[in-house]
Amino acid sequence: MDFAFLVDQGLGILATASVSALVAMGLALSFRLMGIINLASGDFMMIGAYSVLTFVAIGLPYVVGVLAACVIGFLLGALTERGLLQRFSRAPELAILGTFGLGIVIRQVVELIYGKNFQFVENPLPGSVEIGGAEFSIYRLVLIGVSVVVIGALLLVLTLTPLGVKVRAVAADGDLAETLGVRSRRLKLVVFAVSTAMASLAGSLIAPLTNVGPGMGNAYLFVMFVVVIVGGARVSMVLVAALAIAIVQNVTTLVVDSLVAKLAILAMAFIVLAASRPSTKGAIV
Amino acid sequence: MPLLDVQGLVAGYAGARIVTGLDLAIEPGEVVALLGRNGAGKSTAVAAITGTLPAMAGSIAIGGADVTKAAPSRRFQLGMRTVRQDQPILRDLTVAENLRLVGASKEDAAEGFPFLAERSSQRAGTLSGGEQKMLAVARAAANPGLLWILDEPSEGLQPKNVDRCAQLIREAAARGVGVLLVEQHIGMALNVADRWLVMETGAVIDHGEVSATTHETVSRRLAV
Repeated sequence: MDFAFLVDQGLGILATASVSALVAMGLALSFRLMGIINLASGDFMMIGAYSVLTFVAIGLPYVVGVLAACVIGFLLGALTERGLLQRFSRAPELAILGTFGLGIVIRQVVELIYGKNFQFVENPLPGSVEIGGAEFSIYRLVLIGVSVVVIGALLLVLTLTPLGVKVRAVAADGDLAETLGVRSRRLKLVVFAVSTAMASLAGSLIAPLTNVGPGMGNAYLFVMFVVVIVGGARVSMVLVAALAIAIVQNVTTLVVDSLVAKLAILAMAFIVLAASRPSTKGAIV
Repeated sequence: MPLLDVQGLVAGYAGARIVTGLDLAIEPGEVVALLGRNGAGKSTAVAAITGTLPAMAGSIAIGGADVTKAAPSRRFQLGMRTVRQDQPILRDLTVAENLRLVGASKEDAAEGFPFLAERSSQRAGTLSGGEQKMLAVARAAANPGLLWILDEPSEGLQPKNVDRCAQLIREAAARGVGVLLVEQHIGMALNVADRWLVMETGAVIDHGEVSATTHETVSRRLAV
């Protein structure tokens, strides 16, 4: 096993982890603030991929498609929060079921518009660069860079800004935060919309690397949920979990195959949960 | 016009009525002590007045504005400041962040309790129970608004800090803040209050002016 191989695998793991982390951080945030798990996260990823597909197809630059994916993800998330989740704010289990139903509706609508067949987005940055003797896709490097910047920005907002203090206050104790003047309903709407925008961003980033189809989100949803389950609802731990699971996933896929990789991820989640139950309370960062 | 006007308030949990028809009004600069034994319904009344528990019936107004169905954040905007009995601070935030949420600084809070400035970067959940209460009172004092709802603010405090807490309440009232003070510590309550109310089984059963009442009279009333 030479150094170039290790660099290649390491960057591959980072690429996988960064996409998982984008979605899982949003999932963890909305879970902490609202007590709901968004079962339509994979479908918001799919919306991001189709946004890029559509914008590129009409001749706009790829980067416009990515920005549009974020905006569309944000707006649809805001609509979902206002139209669905707020109605069931006192019954989170119904809200969770609602997101499951929403995912089905989104898939059916996309299927009606685009059809069932897989479609493809051309890689906007073909070519590779040599890193440590390994050839690595430029596009994957950009994907890692964008994810790191977005995740870093989110962590900075959460830890250093007044908005971040309010988000952490509502996550810690929504009732008390409200009595201190924090408008928690509006804040939850924004946080949920940001979480769906991040899922949509992740979908738009992976679009050139995968088959774009109405059911594509389901393949990713499994890993996202395991990341949140293993990491708990603390976003810094979610990042660690995303990296650990990406290592297990990529190495097992390389050595055996992707099905065994899924089993290995499940086994890892089981071992972590058996050893110590990750906290769903406490500090959010 | 009273700062706080509560009429016929009914509130409770899971359909059970704990507060069964509470009437009270607080004028600017007035401190009203709400007394009663455990289970009398004081904390339920506070939860309904602050908006964390929906009122089943009755009305609540702050400065003439009906807030019966308003979110707690709206009541904060109208000048209500709350110190709740259990977990009065956000434990996962630092002392400074707890203050920053209401637009206050560590220097503002240090006027109430100086130790808060030195420990501003400490996570609030690592303060002792009494220190957490002091932080909550200092938070109200640093951005006083118009109306304080204090649920057992002296609980867990050392005597000198109980005195400091009473002093902060008096200073706020002197500036026109109305205060509803729920207290088990009758001595402290009667020391700072202008009027007292005794609650029993969810309603006010007696009331009086502090200037016209002895400590023993109120204690006897509470023992009934």
